Amino acid sequence: MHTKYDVVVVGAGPAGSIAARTAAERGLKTLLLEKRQEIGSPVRCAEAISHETLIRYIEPEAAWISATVHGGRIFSPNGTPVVIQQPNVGYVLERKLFDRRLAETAVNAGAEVLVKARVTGVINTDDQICGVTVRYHRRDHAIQADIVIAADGVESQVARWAGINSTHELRDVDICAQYLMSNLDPDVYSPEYCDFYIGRELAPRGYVWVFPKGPDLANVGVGIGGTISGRNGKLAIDYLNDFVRTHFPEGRVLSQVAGCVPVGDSLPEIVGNGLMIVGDAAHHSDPISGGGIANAMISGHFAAETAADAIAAGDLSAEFLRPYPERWDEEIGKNFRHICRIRDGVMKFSDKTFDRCAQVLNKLSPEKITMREIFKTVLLHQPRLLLELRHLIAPGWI
Amino acid sequence: MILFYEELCNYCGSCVAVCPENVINLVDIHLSIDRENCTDCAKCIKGCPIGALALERKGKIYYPEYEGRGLF
Repeated sequence: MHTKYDVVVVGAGPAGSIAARTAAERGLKTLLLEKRQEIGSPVRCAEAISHETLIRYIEPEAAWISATVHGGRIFSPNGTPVVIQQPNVGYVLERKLFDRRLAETAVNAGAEVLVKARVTGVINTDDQICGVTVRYHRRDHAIQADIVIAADGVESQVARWAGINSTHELRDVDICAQYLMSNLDPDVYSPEYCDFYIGRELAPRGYVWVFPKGPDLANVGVGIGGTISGRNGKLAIDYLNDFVRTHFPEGRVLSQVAGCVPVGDSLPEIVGNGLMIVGDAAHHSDPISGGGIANAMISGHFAAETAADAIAAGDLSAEFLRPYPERWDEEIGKNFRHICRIRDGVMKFSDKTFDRCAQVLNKLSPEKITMREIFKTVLLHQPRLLLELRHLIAPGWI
Repeated sequence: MILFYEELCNYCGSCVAVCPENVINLVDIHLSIDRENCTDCAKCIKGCPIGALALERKGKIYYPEYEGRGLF
């Protein structure tokens, strides 16, 4: 470890590793800091990602892919499945190994990485972030950096230390609990599909997922709206247990995962003087699916490219770092607002409405059932929302 | 006062993410609450997926109880 770097990245998840890799590839002296002893652990993720977004950053490798996904099944509240056939559409990862592999690619590109290195603060000189303080092997170190990239996850502290309020409002998060389960009922579980269960009883303001990890192994999880959590004493884990009791009574729990997922708009301020915020720390996960891996890698990549330009130009001001939020907004972020509006509208639907939608969709021939068709059918129940949908179809979002 | 049941905690950081005062400190598998600056807003209790937090007020404990917690 040196005392001066071009870029210091805090957090070695997908956002941090891709940021570090990109910075190193651009010839920058880069340090990637991970507070945990092991990159990728503990997992706080349902681990699904589409093939299309994954290959933007890494070629799929058997070592960290648990299962290949060939479509999705959405179960309406009365249990009617709507099946979307999409051969080889994506994967369920082994995040522990995937994250480590991503960090390895950052190292191969020339970045330094340190584990068990906890960032304890930012160095702020005249409103310019110019480094971090790190606790490492019982010593406190001050590390100077032109740019600090905060990839420190949903509980981000770096942004808060720098004076950016990154607290999540309860209405903008889903509170999640998940089991890794085996001994699954083959009539309920399919290793081919990602399953989604919707309904007010099952998962208010969220959904239940069953994502395949193997022939008889799955991530079974639930996310519920933050404002609903705790109502009548019922927490995410209780919704999960209720689902498991009714759907996988013989299932065996091998691991318990907890976490919260940002499902609101992006953080409005994702750059400061000498500072960039990426991934979950920037509230960049998808507001409908809660999927965060792909967006994290994209924002990490964009941020590091802008960082390289800024360092080359010798201007580290928030103003000069603007291309990062602009590019994020252009490619991904601007859609969040429409997605949020659609989601808020759809959340008001009754379970009966969803059941009716499933009925309508199942009258179509299987190959006609696509995400776009599903959105259209659902939103026909509230035509005002169809206008929002236009914004998403035009750029090919769905 | 916010109560913390360590035996239940998954150390996922959800409480930290939703705490508006940023008074919850999570280091590896150690969670501490700066009670002097905590306003007892209880958002962390809603933020916790597994019931590791509760609120004590005037000698009464408010804990999100649900019949059938756990699978056993």
